[in-house]
Amino acid sequence: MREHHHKNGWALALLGLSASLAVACQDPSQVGQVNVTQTQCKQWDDAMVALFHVALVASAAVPLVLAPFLGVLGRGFWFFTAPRRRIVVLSGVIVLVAILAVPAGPWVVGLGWGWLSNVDPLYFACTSQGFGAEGLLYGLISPGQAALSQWPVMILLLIAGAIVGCLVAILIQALLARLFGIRRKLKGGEE
Amino acid sequence: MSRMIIAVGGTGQIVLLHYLQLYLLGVVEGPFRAVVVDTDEILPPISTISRLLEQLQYGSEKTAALGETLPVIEVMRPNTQVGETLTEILTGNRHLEPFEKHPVRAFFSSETLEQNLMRGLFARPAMSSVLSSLQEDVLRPAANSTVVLVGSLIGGTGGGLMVPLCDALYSYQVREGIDDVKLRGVFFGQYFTPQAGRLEGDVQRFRSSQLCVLKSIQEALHMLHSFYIVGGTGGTVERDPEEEKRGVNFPWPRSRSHPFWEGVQALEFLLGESAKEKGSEFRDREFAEVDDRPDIEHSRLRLAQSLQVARRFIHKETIRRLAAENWLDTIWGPGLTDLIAHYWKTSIKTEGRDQALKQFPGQVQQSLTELWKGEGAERGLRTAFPNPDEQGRVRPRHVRAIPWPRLKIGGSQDLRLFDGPGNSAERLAATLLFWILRKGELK
Repeated sequence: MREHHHKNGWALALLGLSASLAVACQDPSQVGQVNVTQTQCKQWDDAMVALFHVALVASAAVPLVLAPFLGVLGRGFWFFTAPRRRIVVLSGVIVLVAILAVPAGPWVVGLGWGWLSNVDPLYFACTSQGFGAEGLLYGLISPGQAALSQWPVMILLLIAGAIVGCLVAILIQALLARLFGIRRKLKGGEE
Repeated sequence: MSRMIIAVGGTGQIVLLHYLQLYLLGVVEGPFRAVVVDTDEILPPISTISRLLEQLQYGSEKTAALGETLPVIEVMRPNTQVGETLTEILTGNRHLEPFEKHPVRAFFSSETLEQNLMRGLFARPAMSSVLSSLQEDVLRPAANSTVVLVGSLIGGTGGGLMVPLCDALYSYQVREGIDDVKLRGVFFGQYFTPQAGRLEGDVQRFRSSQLCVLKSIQEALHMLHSFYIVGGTGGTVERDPEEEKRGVNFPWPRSRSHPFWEGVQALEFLLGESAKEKGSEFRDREFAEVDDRPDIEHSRLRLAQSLQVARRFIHKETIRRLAAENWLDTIWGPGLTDLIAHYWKTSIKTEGRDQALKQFPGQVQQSLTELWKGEGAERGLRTAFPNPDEQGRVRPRHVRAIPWPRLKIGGSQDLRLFDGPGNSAERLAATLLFWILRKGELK
């Protein structure tokens, strides 16, 4: 029975990998042979940009929110007893997930499903035509260009966001350590 | 009742070393006073442990540590300092001419007269008996105490000094009216085979020395309350004195029946046993058997777990992590953090606030590393223990679970001990290591 489950597990993993590879090997230019309207492109592009904005905020904010609480896991694991290291690694993990989910998402997991369900697979065809794309960060970066084609910029911005979030989280953690850490015990009298 | 151990010669030192290791691991309890009596060098791990005990001092008494009364280790080296050979000591001359007449020739062979005492007595008890006076304060027993001498009857130092030492102790008792001193002995008969070529006429001399000393003890020791004899029927262990002197990760016996472990169990038993009355006949004072404590398997487990927790605590730079943590008591527990805060506050008092706030965690971490691994010519504590088997993974909760000593308001801290840069950090490092070794477990 256990062997059967193992075999199923391997089969599913292989299937997932094949699907990703199939998507990654998709030739966007083939898709362009289908007609897509400017309205459709704008719609999909806006969805993609919205996802990017959420990922950017998450890269910066999730370490800020989660980092102060990670220390609790230090009761069981040495890794979580090192305050700065856990913040840096957390930020790294989050930005990696964000990159895989959004700028690399169309190739890694494919469009049209999951969190990318609002972006049709035909969106690939939009990169070769103008449709009045807003650009990233509400037009601040690359206005007029499809978000999909701006994946290197998206990656850089996500990393930058994560670095900022990481640094602020470290500062907050240092402040918390001053308020609730051992320095607090240096002020009081002995028990 | 206070307890005193007199470790005589190389065998006595090895038994004492094991006993000190077991004390540090929490297998046997203190306090006790240990006096090492040897013409040869003190074993390096005993010196290392002695240094640790000095750094643990917290109050004005040497034995006053935080949460514990410490053992004391003292050293006595009987040596006249006027020569290296018996010829020099007894005649004042470096050598005797081949046909020169001198009374010493009536008592000692030429080989014995030329023996370099700095290299040991080489199973010649007669030599140690002519060494300098044993009337040193370090031998004075306390009232209401048990004193146990540990040593070999066939070794040069043990065989020669056992009777004079008992006599010295008894003299104190009588001269100064010290009441209720129970004098006991753990005596090793022939239990080891000397290395080939190291001693000439080895086995023969061992047997005759053993017989001679036993007879001396029987005739002279009316003051001896009780004793236990280890070995005595022949050599079962091969010793390497050079390895012993090197003293790095000196291994433990593999089984309870090993003479050294038997000696440790006998020592522990005689230090604590209080029911036996002093027999009228010498043979009635012998214990035929002793308790099976400390158990060697349990001790090995303690050794492995304690050392693992200590290694992991130091390797993970726990003090630096703790100093930067906001989930302080949740992860490490209030016991450890209060202890560190206490010493940190002392450092602030003695070294100034700004300096102490910045440097203290780093200093403690540095001191821990030096104490454990050694620095320069000074050996680290890890060399004072055998290499243990791995037992399991050490987690932060194992550190949290250690019952760190509690601090009392108005406790008897002697601030003079903490005066000077880095002293607070060093003493905290010693205290942390001590409690990790004694109480660290992997449950």
